[in-house]
Amino acid sequence: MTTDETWRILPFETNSAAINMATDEAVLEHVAKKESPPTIRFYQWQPSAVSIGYFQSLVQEVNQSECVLRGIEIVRRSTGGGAVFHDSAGEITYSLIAPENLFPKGITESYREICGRLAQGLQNIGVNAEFKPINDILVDGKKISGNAQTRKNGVLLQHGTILFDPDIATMFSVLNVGKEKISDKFIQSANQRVTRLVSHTDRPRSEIMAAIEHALLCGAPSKTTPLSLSERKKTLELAGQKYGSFQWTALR
Amino acid sequence: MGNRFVEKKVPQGKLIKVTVVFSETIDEIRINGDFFLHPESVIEAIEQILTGVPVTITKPEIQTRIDRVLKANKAEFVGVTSADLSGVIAEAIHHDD
Repeated sequence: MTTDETWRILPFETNSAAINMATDEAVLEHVAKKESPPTIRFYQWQPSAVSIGYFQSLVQEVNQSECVLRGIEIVRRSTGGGAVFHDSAGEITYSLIAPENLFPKGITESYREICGRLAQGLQNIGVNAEFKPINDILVDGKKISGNAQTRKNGVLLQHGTILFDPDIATMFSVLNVGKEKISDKFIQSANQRVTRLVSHTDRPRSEIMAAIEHALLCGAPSKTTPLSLSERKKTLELAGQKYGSFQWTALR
Repeated sequence: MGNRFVEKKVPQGKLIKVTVVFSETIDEIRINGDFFLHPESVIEAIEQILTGVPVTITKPEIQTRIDRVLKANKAEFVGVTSADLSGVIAEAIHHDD
């Protein structure tokens, strides 16, 4: 990463699924037009939501009636990858949006760079994290973070989630993993493959986010400033017309 | 005539799910999964170039078509390859195999 360009840190926000995904795209567009600096944001989902990868089928991946019953939103991402349950209080979500020339050209190499920084941030607070290609971070061999990347108009967007203290039972009830898999036995086996930050550190989410932010910046200067009015306007437009629309959610 | 769904987890990679509706030709094809493709919209071009082709198309011919779209769009799969995808599509349409 560069050390001379000043990055923008957006203030922590709690939003609907559509606003969260629209914000990423609005910022990407403004970075592409050089109207916004490279940006890092941390945010929360309220209510909890399921996001599906760009190429995934809504019907195949999501138990939509269970989502309705539990008041859980569904959104399609602009990035590929798998379906994710974003537990409102149970995860840390970040996005990094920057000119792609600040990172290795290859997709795999840039995952290594950015996820490597993220893992370093966790290591700095005593969590034994490591990057696992293609796009995961593991702690003691168990998955704790999934990440996804897209590139558009010369800008790289990587967003990802780090499990803090997720509700695993709800996660498997809203994601279509097969009925037999929602048994206690399956949840136990999921616990053997997936881990969470509360099992590895006593630090609150705010401190963990600060550690990750510091590592992602990798010495580059930064300033906390909010979205511009133009970005906010674009966010609302994209949330209404794209990410909040059934046409987009059910695109594939 | 019929429709078929085939899924495959690529070892050390991602999941591909292919749904085809076919007669003597591929009438509809939908490629889903948790893979990555940059730029993402190229998936529609891949589906389009495989629609209407005879179901007798071979796996290498499918791959040639996919590779041509990837090259024309400077597109790149991550987590799966065009060979992986061609194999799943071939399996879906060669239902007597």
